[in-house]
Amino acid sequence: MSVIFKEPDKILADIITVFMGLDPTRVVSYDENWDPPKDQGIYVTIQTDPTDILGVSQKFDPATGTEESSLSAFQRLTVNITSRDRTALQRKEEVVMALTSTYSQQQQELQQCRIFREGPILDLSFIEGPRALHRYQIPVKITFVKTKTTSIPMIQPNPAPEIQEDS
Amino acid sequence: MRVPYLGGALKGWTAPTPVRDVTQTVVDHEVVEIATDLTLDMNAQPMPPSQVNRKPEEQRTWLWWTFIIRGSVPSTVLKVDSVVFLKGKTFRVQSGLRDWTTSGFSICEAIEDFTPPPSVPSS
Repeated sequence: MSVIFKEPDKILADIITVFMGLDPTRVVSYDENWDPPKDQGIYVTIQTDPTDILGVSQKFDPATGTEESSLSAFQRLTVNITSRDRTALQRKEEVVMALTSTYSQQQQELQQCRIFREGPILDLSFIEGPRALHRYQIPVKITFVKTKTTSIPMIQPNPAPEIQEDS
Repeated sequence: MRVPYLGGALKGWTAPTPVRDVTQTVVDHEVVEIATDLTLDMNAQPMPPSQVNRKPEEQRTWLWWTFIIRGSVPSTVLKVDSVVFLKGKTFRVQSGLRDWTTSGFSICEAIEDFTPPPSVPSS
């Protein structure tokens, strides 16, 4: 049985943190209320984008009366690497390297998922105008399988006949 | 010209007010708000329309208040996003504290907030 233990964005955040040797508090799952660090250093946000569903299947186990539903999907994620100084410009490729690192392979096996790079590194620094905030975006895809087991109450389509006797 | 010391004049005008201070931290790559309760000697008053008119247009419909705090305020509280309870209403601080402590007070701006604030963790 394949089960995803962590959310895909958390798996990716963990891989990037370990490979790049960043402080875990600087790799954040996207939250619009988050107040980013005011210093010069790198911070990474991971944004969850639409999910493509590949298929859903159900298996019924009559012995235990349970149904196992299983869904396989592509989760799209966007990694944003940002810094006020030039560190993000110099280290943005490390995010792509992190995806294929040995630690990443180990985590993918452990969490029963597969991580792919989806496109080029986009330079979004221009959004900030003349102020030099270096910001790069790396699209990533994660395939995963999620399973859930539920108990199914049995119904009797042909109930046994009741014999009524006249008193 | 230096502003005169107004700490004495504010005596009796301000009152102890419960304040819930909200601090952001990142736990397991997730943003978590941690709240702590404290009491400040302060006065809250609606912001005059002339001052509200100087706000960005899309913010003028918000219900703006000005908080005047007597005495010194710990540097860690009343930051942007801190929550203040007053007369059954919740306010969220929008501007950082303007420090006039040499004159005996500090000022900050807040709006009435309709979202429930984070709860204080039980120790």
